[in-house]
Amino acid sequence: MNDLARRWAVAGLLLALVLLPAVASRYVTYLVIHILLLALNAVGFNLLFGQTGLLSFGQAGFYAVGAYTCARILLAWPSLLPGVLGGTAAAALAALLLGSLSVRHTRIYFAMLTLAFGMMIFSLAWKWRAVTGGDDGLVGIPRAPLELFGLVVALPTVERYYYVVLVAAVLAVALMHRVVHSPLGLALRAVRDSEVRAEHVGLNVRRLRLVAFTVAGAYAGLAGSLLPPLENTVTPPIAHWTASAEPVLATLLGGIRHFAGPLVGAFVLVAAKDVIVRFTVHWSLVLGAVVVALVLGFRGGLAGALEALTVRGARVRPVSAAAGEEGR
Amino acid sequence: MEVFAYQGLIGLSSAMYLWLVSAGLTIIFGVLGVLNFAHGSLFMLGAYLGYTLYGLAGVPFGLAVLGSMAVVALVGAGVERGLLRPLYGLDPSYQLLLTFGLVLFLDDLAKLVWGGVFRIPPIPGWLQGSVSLFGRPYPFYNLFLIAVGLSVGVGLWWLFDRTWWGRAVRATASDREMAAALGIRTPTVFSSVFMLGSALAALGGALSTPVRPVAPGIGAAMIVQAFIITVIGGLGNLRGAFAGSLLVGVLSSYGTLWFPEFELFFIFAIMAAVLLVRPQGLFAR
Amino acid sequence: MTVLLVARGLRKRFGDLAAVDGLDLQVEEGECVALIGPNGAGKTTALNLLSGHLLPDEGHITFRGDDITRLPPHARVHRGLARSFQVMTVFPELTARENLLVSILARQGAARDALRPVRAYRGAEEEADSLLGDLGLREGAEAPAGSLPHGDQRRLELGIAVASRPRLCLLDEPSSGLNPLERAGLMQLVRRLADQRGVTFVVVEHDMDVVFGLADRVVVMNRGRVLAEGPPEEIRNNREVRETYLGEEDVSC
Repeated sequence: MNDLARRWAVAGLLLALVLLPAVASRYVTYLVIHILLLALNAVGFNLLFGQTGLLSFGQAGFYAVGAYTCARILLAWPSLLPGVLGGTAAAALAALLLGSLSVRHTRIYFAMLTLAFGMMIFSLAWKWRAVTGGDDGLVGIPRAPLELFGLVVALPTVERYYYVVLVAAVLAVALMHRVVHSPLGLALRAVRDSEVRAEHVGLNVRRLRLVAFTVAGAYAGLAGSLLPPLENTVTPPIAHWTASAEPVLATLLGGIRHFAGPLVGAFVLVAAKDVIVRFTVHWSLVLGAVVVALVLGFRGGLAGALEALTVRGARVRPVSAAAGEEGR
Repeated sequence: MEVFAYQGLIGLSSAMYLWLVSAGLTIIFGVLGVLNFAHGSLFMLGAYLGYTLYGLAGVPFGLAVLGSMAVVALVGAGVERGLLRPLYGLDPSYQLLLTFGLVLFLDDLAKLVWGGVFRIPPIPGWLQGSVSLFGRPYPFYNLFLIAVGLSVGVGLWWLFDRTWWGRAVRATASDREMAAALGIRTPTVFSSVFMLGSALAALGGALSTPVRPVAPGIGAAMIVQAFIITVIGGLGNLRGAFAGSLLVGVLSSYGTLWFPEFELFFIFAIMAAVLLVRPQGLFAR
Repeated sequence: MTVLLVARGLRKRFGDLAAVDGLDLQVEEGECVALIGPNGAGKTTALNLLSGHLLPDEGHITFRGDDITRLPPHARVHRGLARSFQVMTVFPELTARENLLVSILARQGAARDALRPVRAYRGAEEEADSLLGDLGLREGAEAPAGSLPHGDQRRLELGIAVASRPRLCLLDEPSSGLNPLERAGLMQLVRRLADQRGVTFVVVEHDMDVVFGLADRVVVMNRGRVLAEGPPEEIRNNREVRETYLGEEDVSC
């Protein structure tokens, strides 16, 4: 796709998203909110995986930190912005803290630690009744009004709340686009390609990894803190490792080497899930099988496959070249 | 004081499951360089198979355990040959992603095949009863577990240190190409190591059935514990896995006594402390 | 001439093996030093210690008057000490141009800028393009570096090191895997970069002809320490060197 076509595509997509509540049913609008939330989470995850080469199996933990923090704030102070910002900040802080314990390790070790820390957050959500409500979770969370510069916007309907989520998502995705194309983004890709070389061109590899992990945590947290006003409840399963699989799969599905990959993946995943769970409760079975199939057969994801068709695969290569470094 | 010692002994026996699982995880990582996220699911599979054979089909306990180990070893071989082998030489992230996908798949598969709720089959007759320790009855089955765990430790030491196969494995682990040049068939070594590791996980699982409920979630809970052990003990060495298992087993046992609400969190806190103070693990050389 | 780098009593053990065992080394601004020695003499370990890839068990390194013994590699690069690797290390999925850009941007301290596009750094881009020209890599500039021919990757790797504008650049067998003709070309390139950019080079090299054609001074290592040093002619005629080094080289080849 050339630049102009891409701009038209983005404009068209944005227009469709803006018009959606007017033309689609409430349920579809609700589903698209979920697509946007997963897209936010996956875009953050791909800064970590596609750009920096680090895998995290614990993003659900940061999602939950965002969700629970936002829920607690809204229960005490029913105003949307403090809730969402507070949730995002708390998730970023958690990622910074846990990340600083993990970034010095090899990539394999790092992935292992993310799973363990994710489950730590899950066990907190489950057991720390006083704060999280234990297995009952938190209920009765208000869809608090948006208060901005003295302006108070009530959000009684899903459609109105949809626009809040849409604005947040568009801003966050646009911001990520800048980050990816900035010198920082280039430096992260250098770290991904070769840690040793990156260190020897003067890049502080640990700090860059920590930055990527914290930003990914913040994105997961933003997605998470937009959830309680929609659902009015928060329960521990959102922190479980099976939930961490969703941004991973969305990103793999869409394609890790393309900025739009996680967005496309989030769309396909939420749509597919909505259909599949009507037929079976064994969603994880499908999820797992698809992950295995993607890893074995389609490491470029949908975007990669599409590109292979249109550009004859000139640029889609496995990551094999980068493999040598980690050693065994 | 007696409560303390007794609780420690209880922890010691549950440390043995942890040891069996983390030993397998460690062997596979040490030789293949693959961190198998699905290793806990193999434990779970071992538990379900043991339960089915012994608890449902009435196969004698010892045979049921061996049968479960054999089946899971074959599953392991299939995973290694069919799924992991195409990924050697690629970015290690893909191996992690694959085994992570397997966890999702296997856990849900277990739910599909075996359903949700389970009874615990009785402890086989020859392992019932208890001995009196610190004025309390200590189940004979726990002593049996400790004996099995220690025997596996000795057995692994013998296998890796004293046999031709062990030398081939160690050669492969330290330099794959050199080993191949020496005529060692490294693909066979890989498969056999993966089978051994899987069988150990299944052994732990099958042995757990008469005393712990089997449920789809036990695999994930187990892998998280095994990861914590790995962090505490240090990645890739068996001595660290053993020491780490004892530490985590015994400390969780005290954890349930002291902070019944936050037992797991207590262990996480220890892990975080180790990461801060000795990031390479307590028992790494 | 000013002293750029001083290493005193460097020691590094791996288990029972002392790879570097009391190494003393001094490098002066503007010279081109060749570091030679038989396999296992500790050349690469020495480079790893100087560049911060490994930390020494004992000894001190001062660079431009400051103690850098314990500094991490990235901090050494910012002080003007860069290196290349024996086993090829470029950024395989970045384009050749990006490979140079990342080094230039890191040097400028711009790598922490998360908001402006890379394109906004015109100066850096121009510098990368001109360096691509010097390296003879204009052709493949937009191709992923991992897909370039071996010789191009070797030059690119040299370019990445030079792009950080080091005062001192350590090259670990920059010509390994190249044919004799390419070797000569690469060495000329090193010489030219040294002259144009005022870079001081320390080059680990196997090919004796290349070494003696390039270096102002040759340092011979054996068993982790310096066996002899001096101008190429002197080293060529040094009996001890001929016996230990040239003799052993025949065995190892």
